[in-house]
Amino acid sequence: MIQMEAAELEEVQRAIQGDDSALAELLQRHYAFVYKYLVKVTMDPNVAEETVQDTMIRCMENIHRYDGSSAFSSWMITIATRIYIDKTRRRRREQIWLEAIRNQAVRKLRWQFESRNEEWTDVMDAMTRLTPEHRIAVLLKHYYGYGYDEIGEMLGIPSGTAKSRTAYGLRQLRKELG
Amino acid sequence: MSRSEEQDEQEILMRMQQQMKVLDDAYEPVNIPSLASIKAQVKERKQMKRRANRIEMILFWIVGLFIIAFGVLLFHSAPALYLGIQAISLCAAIAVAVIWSGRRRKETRHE
Repeated sequence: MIQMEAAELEEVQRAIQGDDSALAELLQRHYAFVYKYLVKVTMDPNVAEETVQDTMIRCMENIHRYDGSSAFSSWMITIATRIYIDKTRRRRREQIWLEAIRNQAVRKLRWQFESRNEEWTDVMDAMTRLTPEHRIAVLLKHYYGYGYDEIGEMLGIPSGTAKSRTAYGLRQLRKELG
Repeated sequence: MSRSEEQDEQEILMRMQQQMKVLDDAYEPVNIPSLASIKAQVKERKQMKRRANRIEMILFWIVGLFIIAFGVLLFHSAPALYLGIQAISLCAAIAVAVIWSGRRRKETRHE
């Protein structure tokens, strides 16, 4: 789990009390972290950019709701995840069209990746083929090191569901890479 | 899970972590907004929220007063109808709450 330092805690408290400068500094400092998280979750830099901006606005509007029980960065990625999941759920009716857009985004990501002389491995391919829900669970557990209780809280689901989503995601990865 | 499966899983996780690290390093946000622009946005959002809250409050009071006035009027002119509406509303609210909690439980089970 990502811990919050005393200096940041003080800044967060000032932001909650209505200090605009403190809030702006916090948001700017965490911008890159949230963006990078969203690139991995969405596998689409454009969607990540769009979602990080929505996240900033949501954080500005809801800073008074932040209770300090988790790190500020965790609170931000919780909001970012929920915004992204809401977006994908709202578009579920346009699934076929969305699938085509997603494939195009993955192709673009791969092209950008390779043009930076980075190797696009089968692991990347397998990660793009997971559903967003399973990819998020795997990333939060095995890349960011959150516990199942924390993931459950972040996604608004029981911790058992978080555990089964992570296990299913891993099983899919094993199947794809096996 | 057998020992070899566990080893497989560990290897996949390690490869996944390495790849995600590469992705992290490859993608830096191109246009991080400046501190001044975020601050201006924070101020603007606060003003918008304050305005929206004020309008919401005014609407709430107007609608509330209308409902109370209508209720008082109805209670004096047709008490039976008034009590009937109250009873039906209560039953409907309970039914909605029961259906909603049932659906929520079902969704949690299916996830």
